[in-house]
Amino acid sequence: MIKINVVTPLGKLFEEEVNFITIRNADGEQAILKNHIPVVIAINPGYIKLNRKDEILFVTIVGGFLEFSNNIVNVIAQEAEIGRDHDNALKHLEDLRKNRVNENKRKNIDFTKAERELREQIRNISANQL
Amino acid sequence: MASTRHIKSKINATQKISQITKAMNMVSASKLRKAERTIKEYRPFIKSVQNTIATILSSNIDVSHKMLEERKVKKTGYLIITTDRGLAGGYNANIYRKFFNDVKLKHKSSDEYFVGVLGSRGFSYLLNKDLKLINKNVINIRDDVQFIDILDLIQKMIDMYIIEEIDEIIVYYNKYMNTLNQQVTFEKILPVSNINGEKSKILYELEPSPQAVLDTLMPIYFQNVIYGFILNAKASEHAARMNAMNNATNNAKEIINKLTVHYNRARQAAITQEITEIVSGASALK
Repeated sequence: MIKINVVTPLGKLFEEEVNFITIRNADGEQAILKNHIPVVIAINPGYIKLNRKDEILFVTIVGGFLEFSNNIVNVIAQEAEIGRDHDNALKHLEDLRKNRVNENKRKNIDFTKAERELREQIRNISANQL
Repeated sequence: MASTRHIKSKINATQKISQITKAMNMVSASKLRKAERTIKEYRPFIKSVQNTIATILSSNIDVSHKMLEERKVKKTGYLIITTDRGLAGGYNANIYRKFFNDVKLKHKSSDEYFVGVLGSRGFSYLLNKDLKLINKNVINIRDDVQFIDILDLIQKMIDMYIIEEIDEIIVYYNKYMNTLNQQVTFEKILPVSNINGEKSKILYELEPSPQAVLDTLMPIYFQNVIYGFILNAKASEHAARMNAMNNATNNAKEIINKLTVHYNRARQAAITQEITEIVSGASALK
């Protein structure tokens, strides 16, 4: 069994034991079995397939790398997502990013509106003369 | 002397403000704890990136990366970390002051440097100054700041560095010392001078090639160093706001005390006047 840790800047995402892993990056596919020699693989973007007895999981990664030694895999990634499906994951990560930007924009507008309203109300009740 | 009713309403208003500032103080305190927890979660991440880069650099002599090489500085890039919201005491003002003082000493004109700014307060302040801003839009540093918020700006700065438009990057931020003390600090983050990671004794195979791995790793490392600075700045923002709100609450208490004295005096004067009127009225009847 191989132990796998997935870490992002937000903290630990995932910790599990698997039979073997398959890595897909720009160069193609590659598998790591038990007792593989120590290796560091850049993944940008790509995915890692976790093969377990009964199920297959995909860890989709944007900007990251994988380090293997002593049958422990450490995956360090800027953005990562775990799911049963790889195809949607990349798109999902992109959507996440877009939504975040839009949300920030909307919040700014809302805040500015509220601020202006408050200023107007302060003027109307002339609270500063109190 | 002002009327008693007038003073009373002033006391009430001050009391309400002090309640708000007290609540804000407590909110900031809990946010500070949260920020400290985020920093703790982030540390193992940067540590492992550092360790891997140190291992690669020590075991491969023929790899190089532009971000590791010093070159003659013609133009400088600055990254200033400010806040999104105000009411944090002198937090932002301190950064501006330190930054402009340093820049005046170091550069002759604003052509010699570029400025990237994080946080909407800083952006709207620096927008009207005679500066070359790297980001054309506000970049929010929310309380739950995430990596994807800052990604665009950081990528742009890395690109500028790679094509030699700027030759070094310096970050300005409020360093978190403790809850009472935050220090405006600047640090040179590019070129990366020392990566203090532990070199692993294991000999790694590097796929696809040592150079390719380093090319992927260096931007990740740099992006996360900046993310670390932002988390630190965020912690000091909450601490600064906590202090500012604490001071405001104390000041409000002082004002209330003073006003209460005035109020009592006015009330007494009114009573005295009334008694005088009654007594003089009674004596007139005799």
